[in-house]
Amino acid sequence: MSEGTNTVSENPIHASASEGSRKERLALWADEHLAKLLVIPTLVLLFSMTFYPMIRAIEMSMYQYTAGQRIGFVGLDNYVNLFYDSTWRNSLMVTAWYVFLSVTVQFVVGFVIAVLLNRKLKFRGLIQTLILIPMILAPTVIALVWRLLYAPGGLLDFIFYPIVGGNVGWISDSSIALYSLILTEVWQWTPLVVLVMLAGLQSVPDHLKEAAVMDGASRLRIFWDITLPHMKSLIVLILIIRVIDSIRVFDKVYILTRGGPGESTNVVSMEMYRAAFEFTNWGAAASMAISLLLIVLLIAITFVKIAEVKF
Amino acid sequence: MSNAVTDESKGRVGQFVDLMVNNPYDTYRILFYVGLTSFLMITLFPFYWLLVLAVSGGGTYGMGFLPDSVNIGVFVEIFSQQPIHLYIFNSIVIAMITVVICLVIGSLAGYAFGRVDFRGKGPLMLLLLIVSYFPGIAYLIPLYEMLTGSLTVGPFMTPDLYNTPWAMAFPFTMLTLPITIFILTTFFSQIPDGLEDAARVEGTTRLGALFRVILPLSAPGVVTAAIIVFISVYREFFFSFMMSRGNPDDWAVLVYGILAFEQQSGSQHHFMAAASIVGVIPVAVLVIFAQKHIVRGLTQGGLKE
Repeated sequence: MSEGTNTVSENPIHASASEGSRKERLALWADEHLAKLLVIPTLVLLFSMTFYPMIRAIEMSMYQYTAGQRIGFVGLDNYVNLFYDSTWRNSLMVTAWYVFLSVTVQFVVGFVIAVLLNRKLKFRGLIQTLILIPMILAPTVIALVWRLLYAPGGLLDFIFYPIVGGNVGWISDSSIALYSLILTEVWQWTPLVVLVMLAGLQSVPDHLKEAAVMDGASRLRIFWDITLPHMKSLIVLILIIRVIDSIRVFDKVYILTRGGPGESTNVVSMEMYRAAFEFTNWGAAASMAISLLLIVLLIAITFVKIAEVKF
Repeated sequence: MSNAVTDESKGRVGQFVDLMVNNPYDTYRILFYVGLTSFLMITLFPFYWLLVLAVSGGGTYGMGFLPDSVNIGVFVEIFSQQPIHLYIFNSIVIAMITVVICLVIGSLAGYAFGRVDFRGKGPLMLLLLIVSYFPGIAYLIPLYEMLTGSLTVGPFMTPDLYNTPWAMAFPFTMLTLPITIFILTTFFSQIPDGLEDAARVEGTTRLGALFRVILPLSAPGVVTAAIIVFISVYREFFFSFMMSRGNPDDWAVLVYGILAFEQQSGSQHHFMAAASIVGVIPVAVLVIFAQKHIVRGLTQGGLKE
């Protein structure tokens, strides 16, 4: 960074000859190693805010804690315990189901809406602004609204009364709560899928479609053989983003259900939070964190491989 | 609610695909407006509902689509109950700090990634991408320890940043730096080499060219990155929640301002709803003026492939 400011404030007119040459040499040297110098601040930040905590978490995961106090080194015991911990396994299952269902629904619904909207829109800017709203609002606000919508005797119960004939127990019934969370997630993130897919649909070159029309291809055929292949990488990308983003869901669960009722919505990050801050078992929490990191890493790498994303 | 409609539109697409093929325009147009309207209504309904909650007074969050009574005064009342403006001010300051740090560091790295070829570039970008998707909660305990001054490295102790804007700005920077770099890299790499070469022939260093040519030319990209960072920091929940005691003097952010109404007795839902609406205004203003930038930022990451 200091390198940067030096070079920038340099003004060749005012510099004396010898000073100028030294500055020049410095500038030349900086220019040569520029890429490395420029990436240093990023790396420093990345190291202190990401890698250090990760290493520290790995270390913590090898100790046993009771009431926040380090008791002793236990090696991999925390991980072995996790393996046999039915609560943890349950939270993995809950998270997997949450991610699978919400991403599938988001994608299918979002894609269909994007295909419907793919034409010249009159109020394009307005519509885009409006559907951005769920994504930019604070999760606190979103969770607050939905908590009131799901409240017993709340608006959703009012709407569904004629069909169900009673209160549904949106977030108080353990067989429904997870689906209510998924509904909120789908509501919040479908617009993103719509926006991205719409951008992708509109990036399909017209001349390809025109050529296909000339050859007498039907609309369905054009969609299947030209539009879809063109959007393949975009589709994989939005799937990666949504899958990885919903694996780490926390705020929604924390505000809406706190993992309950029972353990029905106890997602992985909620279980981790409880281990750390309710039971102050930091070793166990750290081992969960590391396991989650490994899972996310595995998924990210798999997706990147599938998508053949190149940099 | 949304399930019902989505099922409906799914079914329709299946049925109407043939019709759409044979019957060019009318079916499609009806379908289009039905789809668009229901989508917009479902997307926006909770916010309408928030407004209804805010103006209809405490305790009546139950029934009906229309407010029982309209009490606009609630938007003034919340300020006498809690210093909402201070919480909002804190949120904005912390978001601004993060934006500045992200832009400075991110534009340097973005220049390296976007315009210079060097060894290890690909793996480094991949690393950034992967890091940006790590679950933040996994770092919470070590970061908490580090930022609250209980970590000693040799003779040095980290400063206690608890209840300061920095305790939030640093983790936020970590969370938003990757996306900043991706956006800036894309924009920087699109600038024709000729322009930079011309500047360098004139005697500017590469860094000079970055600040005098590349940055001004990619102003839309910089704005996009700034807005995305601002919004994601403004809405962040977890670190904001953990890194402050919760008083406005302790740099507590909007989250605490809204939750402050929950700790009081009785039904304060209308206050919470009103505070949420007031708190959204800064971001709403930003979105109205910059929706093009936001959409571009959200979509171009994928589009550049």
